[in-house]
Amino acid sequence: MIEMLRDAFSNEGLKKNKSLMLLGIVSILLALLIVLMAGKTTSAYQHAQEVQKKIADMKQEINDFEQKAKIVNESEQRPVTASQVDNVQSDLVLAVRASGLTLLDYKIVGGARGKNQNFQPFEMSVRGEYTNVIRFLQNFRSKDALIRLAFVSLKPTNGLLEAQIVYRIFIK
Amino acid sequence: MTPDKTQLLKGRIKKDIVQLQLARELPSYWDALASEEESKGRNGLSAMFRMVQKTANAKYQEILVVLPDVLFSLISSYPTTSEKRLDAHVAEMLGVDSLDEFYVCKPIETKPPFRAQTTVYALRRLYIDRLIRAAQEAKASLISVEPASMAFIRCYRQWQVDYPIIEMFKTESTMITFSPVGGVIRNDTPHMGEKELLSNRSHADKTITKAISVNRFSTGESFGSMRPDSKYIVLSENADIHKIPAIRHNEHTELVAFPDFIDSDIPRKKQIHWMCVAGTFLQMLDNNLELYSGKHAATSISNANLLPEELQSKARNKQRLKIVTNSLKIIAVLMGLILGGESAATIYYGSMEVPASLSEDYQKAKKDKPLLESELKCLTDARKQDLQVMEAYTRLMKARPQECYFTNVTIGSRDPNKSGGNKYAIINLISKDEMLFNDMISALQEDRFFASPSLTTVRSDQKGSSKTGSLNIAKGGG
Repeated sequence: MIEMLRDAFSNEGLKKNKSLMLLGIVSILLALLIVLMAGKTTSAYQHAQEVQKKIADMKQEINDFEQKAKIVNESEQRPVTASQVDNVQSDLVLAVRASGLTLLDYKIVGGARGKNQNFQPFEMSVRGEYTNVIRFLQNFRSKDALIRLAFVSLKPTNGLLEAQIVYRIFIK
Repeated sequence: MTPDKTQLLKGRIKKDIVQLQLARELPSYWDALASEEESKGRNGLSAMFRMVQKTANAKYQEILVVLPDVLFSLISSYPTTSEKRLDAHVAEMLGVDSLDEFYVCKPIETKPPFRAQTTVYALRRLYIDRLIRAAQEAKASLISVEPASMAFIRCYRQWQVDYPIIEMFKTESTMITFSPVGGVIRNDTPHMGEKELLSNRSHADKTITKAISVNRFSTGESFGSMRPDSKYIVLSENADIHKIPAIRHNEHTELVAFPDFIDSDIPRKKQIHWMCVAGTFLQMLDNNLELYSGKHAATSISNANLLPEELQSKARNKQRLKIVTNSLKIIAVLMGLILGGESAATIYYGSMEVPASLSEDYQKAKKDKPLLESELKCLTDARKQDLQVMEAYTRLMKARPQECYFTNVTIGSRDPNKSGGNKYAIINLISKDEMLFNDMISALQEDRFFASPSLTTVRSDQKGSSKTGSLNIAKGGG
């Protein structure tokens, strides 16, 4: 083996074995390039992994959003904005009149809406014929605004029915 | 290489076992070897080497050549003396002044207690030089040229008995005798080519008998002793030759085959015709104890390779360089592929990005999410806070017995966190018959919408004509 290498690397050997020398140099260069490239490939791969994770997270987030949006959109009633509360109130007052009832009292319960409170409670007192009052209470709504009747107090008075109600308008 | 054909064996040596991978017969290149015209002969032999490389798929393998003994100028055994004196004697026997025109090897030497003798093979240089030049032209690695008899003797491995061999071809033949006490001698056998013998069968017997008796005499003279009943190993593939009576009576009939450490698919009965070719591989089995098992220490067998040592090692080095170059080529190609793969992977992975449309959708969702979640919370809270007030009123009205009236009904709770407990519904009742209050309670108990209806007070008016009661009801699970 040593003799072979000695022959190959002698002056005469080098002349005869040009292709071998070239091959050797090319192989060494290729090996160096492979090592250098390996680092770049690894970091490119890591970058790709991060991007894929990001994509997966984004898709998950979007999917989650879409599912929630579906629930909200399929709901018959939806919370209103703060600026729409007055309109809702107007509808309810109009409904009192449309039902042939007398509005006795109407007020906001508990002062201004708390920071974490997502509804505004109101109290309303009406009086009228029994069937009109009951019909008014059973159809207590304003378009698709999310309203809940929380408390009802019914009391006959002089042949009529007086109703005191507490309701909550939900605000988004 | 024989005058009739060229026998090709491809083998691999692994742990002192020779594995024969290929056995093929090629056309004869004898004319190219013996041609008077140098360039014609060299071209013919180059073609032979290329054919060998192609047939055996052996572009990077070493090549060993075996030449029949009939080609050699001298094969004989002489009393051992100084090398100079022996060479001078050989030159004299060849009728030349010096051995410059010959390649000479001395593969067998016997010592006391046997006769001190040295076996000499001499071959004209032009044959070997032509083979060397042809191998160089064909870029083949020629590392050995051996006489057929030495290869046969090595393969046969009978070191304790003497035996003669007749090498017979269509138009040529020769007789070689091996003796463990004296080495090898050759006797010429003119007129013993297969064609000539078979063309005149009556004369064939005489010719053969004469050759045998001449051989017996000369071997006795050369070796001092020789078995009188030695049988002849006849190397001829022509069945008719073996039917000639003189051959039949003197022929060695026991099976002559490869030793166990040669692994081959050649049928054992036919292995005798490949012994000369297979035997040349065995010159590389230095450590195989079986090869020379039974040989007397006084009989020394060495390499019969006629190629000069320098040429042998040059050929071997060239061969190794070829392998290294070829391996480097393969490695370079593989590395090129790896580098290509790495580059492609780097570009591919590096170019990965979050799609713009996905990013847009995500940003939009992120922006709208707080509002959406607020809405969702409202819906959830509204569902939790839904005390079904009017549903309760309808059921209360249904449960009310006739002649029993409500004076006051409250349902629900002002506190969003409470459902009212057992005061979810409070009813003030009036009736003439207080038993109707119980009827109401029974009716409410049957309705799973309510739970635990309880009459908290019952009063009579001053006149006692009517009863008032107060009923507290909790919300049920139904």
